[in-house]
Amino acid sequence: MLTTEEMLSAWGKELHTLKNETPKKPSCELRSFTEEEKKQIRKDEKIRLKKLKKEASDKAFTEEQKRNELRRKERDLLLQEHLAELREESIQDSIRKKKKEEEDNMFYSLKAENNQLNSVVNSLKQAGENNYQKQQMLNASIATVKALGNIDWQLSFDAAERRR
Amino acid sequence: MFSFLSNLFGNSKAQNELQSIESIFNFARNGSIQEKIEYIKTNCSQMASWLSNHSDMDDKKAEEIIVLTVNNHVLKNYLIPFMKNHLNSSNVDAQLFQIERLKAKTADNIDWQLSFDAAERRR
Repeated sequence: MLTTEEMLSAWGKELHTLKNETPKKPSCELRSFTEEEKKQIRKDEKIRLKKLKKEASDKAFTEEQKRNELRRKERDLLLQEHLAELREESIQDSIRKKKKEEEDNMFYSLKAENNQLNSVVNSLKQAGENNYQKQQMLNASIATVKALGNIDWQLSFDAAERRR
Repeated sequence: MFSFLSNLFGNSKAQNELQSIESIFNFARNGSIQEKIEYIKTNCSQMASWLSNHSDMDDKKAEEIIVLTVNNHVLKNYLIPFMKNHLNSSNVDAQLFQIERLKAKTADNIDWQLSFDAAERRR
């Protein structure tokens, strides 16, 4: 497919060739053309030239339109591709955000559970300490009861002795 | 923590149990992250699956979550049940009540005996 410039250049060359081919000295037949005929020939030539120019211009216009259409389609494709990338990026971003939120929630819930468990351990430890102290008191009381038991037994024994 | 528990739970049965809990507790404190991951895989399947779904998590956060998971599991399944069980099984209060009653009774006996002796001597 020729461009406008190429067509005009081809036409220019053709015109130049035609001019060169035209005999310097007109033939008898040409010479026999009347002024009216010559006018008509020039007029026809002008019309032909105008028509050629119009054709070339129309063709160039159509080609330009086609090129524009192609460029537009290309731009549309690139835009679609870019939009798809953005959409995918946005989806990935929202997945990442959701995951991060889940991770934060998991961390805070484990932390809260840990605090709660530590507080239970501390309460149990306190209860164990109390129990330990009570155990010490129990041991002391057992020793006291044993000592009192001994005294009681001794007094009963003495009384029995005295009665004998 | 464990010296206290060790003093508290003096009998040999509890001591053995305490030693095994102590070793798990030390693992929860000093074990490597890899060991803790293995522990989670063996003992907490749901958490292992959750961690696998979040394998692209930030390293620091993942480490914190793993450490907390192991700590909580050890506290919840070993230490707290052991302490509760010991406290429930010890009947110090009841024993203390009984011994106090016995003490009072013995003291009464002595008191009575001494009064009786004094009366005898006066006769």
